[in-house]
Amino acid sequence: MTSQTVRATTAAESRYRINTPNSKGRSTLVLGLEASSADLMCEMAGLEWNGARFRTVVPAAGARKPAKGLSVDADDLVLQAPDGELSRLSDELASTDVVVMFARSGEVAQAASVVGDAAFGRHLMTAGFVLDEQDDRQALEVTLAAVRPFVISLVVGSDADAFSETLYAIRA
Amino acid sequence: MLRKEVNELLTQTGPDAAMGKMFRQYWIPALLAEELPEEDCPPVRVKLLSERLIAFRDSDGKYGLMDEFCAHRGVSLWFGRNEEGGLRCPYHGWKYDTTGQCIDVPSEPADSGFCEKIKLQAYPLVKIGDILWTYMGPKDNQPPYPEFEFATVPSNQTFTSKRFQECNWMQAMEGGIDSSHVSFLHSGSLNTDPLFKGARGNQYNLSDKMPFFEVVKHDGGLYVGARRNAEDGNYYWRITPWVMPCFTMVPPRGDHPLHGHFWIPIDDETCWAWSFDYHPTRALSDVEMEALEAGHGVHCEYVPGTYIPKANKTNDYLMDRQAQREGRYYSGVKSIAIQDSSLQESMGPIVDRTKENLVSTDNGVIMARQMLKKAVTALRDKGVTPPGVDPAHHRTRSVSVVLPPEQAFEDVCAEDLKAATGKPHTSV
Repeated sequence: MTSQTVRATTAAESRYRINTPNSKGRSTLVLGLEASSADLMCEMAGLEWNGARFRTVVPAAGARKPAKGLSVDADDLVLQAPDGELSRLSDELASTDVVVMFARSGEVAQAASVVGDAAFGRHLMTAGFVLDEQDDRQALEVTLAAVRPFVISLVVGSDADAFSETLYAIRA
Repeated sequence: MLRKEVNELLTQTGPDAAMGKMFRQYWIPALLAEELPEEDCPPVRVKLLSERLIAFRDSDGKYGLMDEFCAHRGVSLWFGRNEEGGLRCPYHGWKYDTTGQCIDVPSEPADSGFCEKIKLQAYPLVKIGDILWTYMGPKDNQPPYPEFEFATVPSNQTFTSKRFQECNWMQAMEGGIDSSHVSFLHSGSLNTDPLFKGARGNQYNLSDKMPFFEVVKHDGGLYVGARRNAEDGNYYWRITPWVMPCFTMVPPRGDHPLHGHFWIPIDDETCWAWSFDYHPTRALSDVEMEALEAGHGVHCEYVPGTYIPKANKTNDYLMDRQAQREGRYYSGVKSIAIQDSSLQESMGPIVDRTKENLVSTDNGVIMARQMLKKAVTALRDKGVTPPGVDPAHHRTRSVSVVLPPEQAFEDVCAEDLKAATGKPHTSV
């Protein structure tokens, strides 16, 4: 008599996998940690996603005059969308399941600690992607050290395609 | 998740498939040396990368690997007579040497030159360590021999096995990159398996079930670092090297031997799971050898006379629900090797990756897929040799280490991650 496992694992049986979606969409917030990421965030936002939102951290020192009613506490950040609209990190996290932080090698990425603490406090999943296009180990280390404590998974990639493919893989 | 066409690109390894051509750039394990133990021993059927082949060892001890079927009328040379420097088909006596060259066609006049026109497809077969390796690519592109440390240490320091696995190579290989499953699937074995237990690092695995991951590239593939909390705010790192396309090493525990795997496609729906244990600086002890031969650690028990695991799908992997309830075996399946293979086979012959819901801790797997895709298309479109062919990429080891939080393993452990003769491995 054939075991149930033998019957269940044939190629023919694999055709009977249920075709209806097996997950509800997760809400992904993709954050460029420094202003230099804004162009890439804009470019990424133009691709097709499952609702991923792309924002860039607005540096505190160079922030434009906040939009009416927009003020942030010390443990919050101002974010900018590709269309220029400003928002608060705390507001964005309220409707987020996964935070993906992005930085380029050599960036100080100070915002990682604020984002990480806010995300961990809300029990959100965090991931980091550092784009290393230079061949400068010391510069990379600066950024990794800044991001590492605040992400559950940290990836060093050598091109922007790897970043977009990573986002696709996690259904962002 | 992967798009359907990318899944097909990465999983299909036949002679005309792009990934098949990429596998053919490398030396790959073909047989255990024990399968051809002496001159003129019986030939062995071998199927690799969807090609059916016959392996034999001639009267001078030379190894041969060639098309399984006689050029005359397609009889399997498994029935062949291995004698006097060649393999003779018993149907009409056609004989072949280890290069696949026909050297005798008894029905033709000796000086007719007919047999010189007959040559079977054949591949080199060389013994390095306990393995007979083959290269199935273009002859003029043959790379240097592999230099994985487990295969180059003295024979009393190493042990190799293989087992038949009924699923595509890639879903099996991804289990080697993904270390997050250890804290669950293998948790029952960490304190009981003689080749795992007793290491200080085990306590970190068991007490911290949410590792943080860091994935960095190296010339031959990836290092996947998994960190867990240790004492005094430090991190316990377990670092897995992946060398393309299909070699991984498990981070070590204490002074137990290092171990790792290859997953070599037989065809698109089955593979050989090769497993090795070795110690870089001493002979394996009698206790260790006894455990390895008994199927402990990453090895397994077999159906007698075969390389088929004793616990397999025909007997539902000897599932023990009582042991599952009691936590002795997390999935209810006994051996570490079969704990992996049972779940990987359950995904189906070729898992449908369009249905996945990956999380950030799958980033090692995600990056490996990206690197494979990049390499296979670079080879296909531009003839670029893929990473992992160069023997320099083979001289790597896995590492386990405790580090302060501000230190990057890639820098601090750069030398520990390199294999070197006589150098102790780095382990907790």
